[in-house]
Amino acid sequence: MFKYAKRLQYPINIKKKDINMAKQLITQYGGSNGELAAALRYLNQRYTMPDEKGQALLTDIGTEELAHVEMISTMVYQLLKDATVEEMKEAGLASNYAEHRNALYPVDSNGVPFTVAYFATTGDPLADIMEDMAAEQKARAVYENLIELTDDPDVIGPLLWLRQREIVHYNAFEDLFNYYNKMLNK
Amino acid sequence: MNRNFNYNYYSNNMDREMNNPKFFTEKEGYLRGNMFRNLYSQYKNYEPQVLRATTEQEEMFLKLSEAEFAAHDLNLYLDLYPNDGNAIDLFNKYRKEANRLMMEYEEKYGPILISSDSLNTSPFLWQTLIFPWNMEGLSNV
Repeated sequence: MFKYAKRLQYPINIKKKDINMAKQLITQYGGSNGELAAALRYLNQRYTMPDEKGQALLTDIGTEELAHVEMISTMVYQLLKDATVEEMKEAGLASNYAEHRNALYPVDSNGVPFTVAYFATTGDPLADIMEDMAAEQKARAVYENLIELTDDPDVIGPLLWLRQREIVHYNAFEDLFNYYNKMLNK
Repeated sequence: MNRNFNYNYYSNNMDREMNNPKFFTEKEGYLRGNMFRNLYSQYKNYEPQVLRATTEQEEMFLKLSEAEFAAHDLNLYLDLYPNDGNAIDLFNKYRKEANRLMMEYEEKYGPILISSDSLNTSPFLWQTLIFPWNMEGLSNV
């Protein structure tokens, strides 16, 4: 089961409204390389891992990704807070306003809605973990793209932190991949 | 080009467990987003954000966040390397510290977990305190 802790894993405190950045950043919520896809990917794949190492790691990283969904959502929420209809229109978010006003919805930067087709589960642990490694690399790359798109330190700080988590997770998955590769191909 | 992804991993070999890993302190680790020195990879010339506590509450909240994060990062490592005694000791140090700080924080400033003793009051404090997306500063004032 899951329990909620009423705090963010890392603090978010964005003071400057930036609707355009919100439009870009939301891809780490609802995009193909985003945190929601990561959380669902790992939490869904964990059941058929061959032993407790993979089951534990996918559970624990999958759970952390839920905390990252909350961080990204908080950032988007704060960037959009008090944005007027006019400002939303100017930033290219008129269609977002039509569907959701200023509320959050899991989409990518182009407004394409989230789909579980963004991740796979093959039941083959090596194939699944290789996908997880790729997912962490892609998320890292997107964080770097997003860092380049802003000069607000309140936004850059959490993005740098989340980028480093992708690197830590990538390495854990790589170790797990090597371990299963050795075990399964004896 | 994979310019930021070239460093040593936890270990490339499950037979060789890391007996002497080099860890950041919980403060350094929390700012960077990882406890393992050899895994830290700074992006270009971007330094980690400095988190400054301006009140006693923020100070305690930050310490709690640091201890919980340190324990969590070691947890991920121990999922893969459950026989690393040094990491188990360090995990337990941070786990105890996080539990202690959580109790102290909740007693003084209100609940973070629904299991908190601080919920034995009227009005019910869980929903009256601010949710994290509305936080200003470092803690849930």
